[in-house]
Amino acid sequence: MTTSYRRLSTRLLIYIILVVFALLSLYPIFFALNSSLKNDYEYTNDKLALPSSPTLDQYESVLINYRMLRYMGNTILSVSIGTLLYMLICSFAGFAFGQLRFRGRLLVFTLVLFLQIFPQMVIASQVYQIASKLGLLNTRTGIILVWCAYFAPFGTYIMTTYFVGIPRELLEAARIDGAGLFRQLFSVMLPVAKPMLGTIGIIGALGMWNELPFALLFLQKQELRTLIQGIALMQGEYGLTVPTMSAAVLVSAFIPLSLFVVFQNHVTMGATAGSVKG
Amino acid sequence: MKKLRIVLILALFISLAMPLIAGGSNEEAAGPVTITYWDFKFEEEVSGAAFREMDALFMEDNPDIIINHVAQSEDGYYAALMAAFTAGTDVDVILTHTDNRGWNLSDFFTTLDDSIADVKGDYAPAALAACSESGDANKNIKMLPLTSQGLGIYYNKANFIKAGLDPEKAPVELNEFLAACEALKAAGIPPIIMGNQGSGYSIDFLYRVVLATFYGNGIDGFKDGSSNFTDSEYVEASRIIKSLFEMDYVNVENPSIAYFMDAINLFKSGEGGFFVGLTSDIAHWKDFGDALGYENVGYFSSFVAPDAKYPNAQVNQGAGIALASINYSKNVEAAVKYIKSYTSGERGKVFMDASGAIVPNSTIPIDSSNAMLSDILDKMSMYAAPDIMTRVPGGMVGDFYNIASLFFLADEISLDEYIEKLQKIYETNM
Amino acid sequence: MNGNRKKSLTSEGRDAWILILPLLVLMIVFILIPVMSNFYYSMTKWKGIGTPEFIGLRNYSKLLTDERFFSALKTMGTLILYIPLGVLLPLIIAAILRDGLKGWKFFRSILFLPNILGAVILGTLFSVLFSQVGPLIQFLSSIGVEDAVRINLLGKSRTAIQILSLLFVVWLRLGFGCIYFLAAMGGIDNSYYDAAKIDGAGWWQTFFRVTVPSVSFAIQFFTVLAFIEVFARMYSMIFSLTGGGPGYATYTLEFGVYRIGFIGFQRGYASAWAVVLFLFCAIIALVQIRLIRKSEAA
Repeated sequence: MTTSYRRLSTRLLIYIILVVFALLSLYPIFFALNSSLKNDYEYTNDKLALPSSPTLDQYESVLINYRMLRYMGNTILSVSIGTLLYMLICSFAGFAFGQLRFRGRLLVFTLVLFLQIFPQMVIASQVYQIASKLGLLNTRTGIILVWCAYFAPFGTYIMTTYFVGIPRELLEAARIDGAGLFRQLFSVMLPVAKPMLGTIGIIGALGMWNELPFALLFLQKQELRTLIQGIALMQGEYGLTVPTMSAAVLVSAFIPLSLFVVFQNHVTMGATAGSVKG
Repeated sequence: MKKLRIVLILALFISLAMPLIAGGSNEEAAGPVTITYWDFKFEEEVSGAAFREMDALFMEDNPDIIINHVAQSEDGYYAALMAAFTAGTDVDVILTHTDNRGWNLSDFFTTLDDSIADVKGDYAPAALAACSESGDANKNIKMLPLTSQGLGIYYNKANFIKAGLDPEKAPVELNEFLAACEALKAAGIPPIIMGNQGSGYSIDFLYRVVLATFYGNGIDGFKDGSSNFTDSEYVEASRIIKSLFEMDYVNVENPSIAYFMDAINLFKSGEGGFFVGLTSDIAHWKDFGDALGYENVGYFSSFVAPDAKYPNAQVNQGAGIALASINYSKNVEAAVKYIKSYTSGERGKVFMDASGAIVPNSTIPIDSSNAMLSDILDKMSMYAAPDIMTRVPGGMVGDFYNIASLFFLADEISLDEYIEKLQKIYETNM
Repeated sequence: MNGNRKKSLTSEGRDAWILILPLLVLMIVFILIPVMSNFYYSMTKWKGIGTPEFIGLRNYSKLLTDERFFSALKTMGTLILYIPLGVLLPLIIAAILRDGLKGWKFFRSILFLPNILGAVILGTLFSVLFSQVGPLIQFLSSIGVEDAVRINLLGKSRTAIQILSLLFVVWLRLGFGCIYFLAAMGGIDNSYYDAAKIDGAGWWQTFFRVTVPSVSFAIQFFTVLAFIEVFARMYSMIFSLTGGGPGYATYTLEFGVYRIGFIGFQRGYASAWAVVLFLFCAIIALVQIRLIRKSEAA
């Protein structure tokens, strides 16, 4: 009665495949780390060898001279507020689409599905003009609102598929208890949707953290700039050397990577509930 | 009750947004004027440091002017400028290339003819011509030149000796150049160091120097379609460059050295015979001289094919990068004062000393003790020829890299197909 | 307040509109209006600044003679061909991990790592890794492949597009796909598996008869996402990996909009590209809507 895949050789094969994929995922990070510890000449002469005398010069230059430390603070602030707002918007709208019945529901939801698709390039310069008229350029509010506008449709979509799956009895029961809209939402629905909220939060936060075109257009002040923007600025006219760029890349990925290591179970578990179809 | 809810949700929404506005609002200072300067080189290590020093010097002398120097990304820089100008964003001064990318925006540049009348003589005429909308050093000046940019071929004299070549004789004739490549190759030295991945800078640079010898001032014809990629001159230049690849005179890794910077570092570390470089910015006399020793670096304008009509031509953009004052700014006067000071005298010298850029202004004394620099300056002033990349439509530069990589690096199309594709994209962009 | 059903329905309607208002406003202001403006600009000659000059449909006829446009369609065709692999692979891995392989949590996390770095960074890193000075070529050289250093994976049309596809459509989506499918499979009732076992079904049979049908919605959703990413989320990866080249081997519509409009100062013409892209996006949206309707009906 033993199924064939339980045999040792099959198992080994599966492990080999998984190890190969794992290496593919880890190698770029390792390569960046390795390169970032070399000076330019050492990198030019041998790109793959381990650094003969590891140096932190690249990090010092990136963090201080290129002001990445400053940008890190900015990014943390903008992305965390942005993510919070985004999660609110998505869960509000997701709840409305998924649980409430109202005229125009399908039409608006169609619009959401449609607008989530467009590439940034198609809208970036128009968005700039609109934001300029609204006085939102060079403000944290501006970039946060634009980020939310750009990322929330997808988040809403996911939240909707989740809320559709929650039995309506839950809502009816809360109503009979006399709960108003926001009590229905905050004390009944959101606790149920917590894992999914975590998932869209991660998707949104990563999207904002790595977002470039809007940040480049919107944020022209040092006290607002983001890390990814910092990397783009550092390239200058002819590009950066790989060691400097690697250090910058790792600095910009440091927070997301460490958060992931800490919360990885949460991240991966979060999706558990979410993917169940509505 | 319902209204309360609406108010509540709006309040929530706004309360989240409001405190943030404070962090980024643009308070207008009452006292000194602020000049906002957008610059795509400000975050570069060397240039950035020099620019900071120059700003500090300027503000010391002009306590009523504050310089708000804003770094921009080079990628998408001109699109950002277009968006900013359309929206009337507060920008007073910009750094710009003196090619079509800059001229596309010239409706927003202050005409400087009157305001620079007092110092006009200080600027090199060729540089002023490059900064004039009509290419005339006497009128329609809309930018002030920060660098005088040219391109040429540097060679490593130490490696020449190793290959049994005469280090004091630059291999200018094409057959001499090819013979030198052969000798270097035989000595195990990669003859020409190039870096071409992504943006084919090295191929691009080589074209610019070689085409100058074929066209001379005829390069200007690429501006209006009177010169074409189908010209026999262009085809011949392409054939020669391609032959360098076919004969293995180019370092094998050139398409994949990740950044152009990497190739520069390779040459600076003593590898290779030739490097097609610039006269300002990077990959120039100072960059290579400091790394290899000035006595070990030679320079010539270009190798010259037998049928090239302008054997002495030295490609010279007149000005590479320049500063422009934006005409809708509230502080045009202060802005013009700033760009004048930036491109001359003490401030200009700071930039020149730090970066090795040639600032084309006579108030900046040029160190004439450096033989290579003097030689380059002589060539640039006596035999200046225009640069093709500043003449073709700015929109086709990216396509040029794509098509050139298909021909030179991927080796997937014939010379005829290559020329045809270039000509087509040139016409599309006209 | 919750008295009669009808009243509750209308108040529900008002509640709903209040809740979607923030999203709606943001979407209309920052996405819908900019997207729509492309239709106008696509009929103008405009470099991105100054007054657009109305030229009717000339941009569209230009499109039909532009090599870049057809290359872009071809590139996207190739990318789409990789989508089945990009869906199947994480599905199979998820099914394997679900069986409780030792260390599965570790692999699940590792596979997700690339998603954290973002496409710009990954593209840049891979442009070095796949280059002639990268580890792959060095490895080939060390095992004695002749002239390995002349293999220029990102520099040849055929290999460049394959690598881009494998990286973007398959590898980059693997981590998210595994997590996503694993989660979906968590919802499958174990009795189905037990029944399959009793029938004596092998692993593959179980996979196709039980696992795949049970997560069919997740599969369809993930496939639609793949299309969205190919059509509308690729420019930064292309930009940093290949620059659309060599030639136009890795040029896509989205990249063209960026290159022609942002870098090439032909914003009017680039808008025509954007409108074509718009049509593709509309098709994707329609498919998505049908999908959701079907799942809601079920």
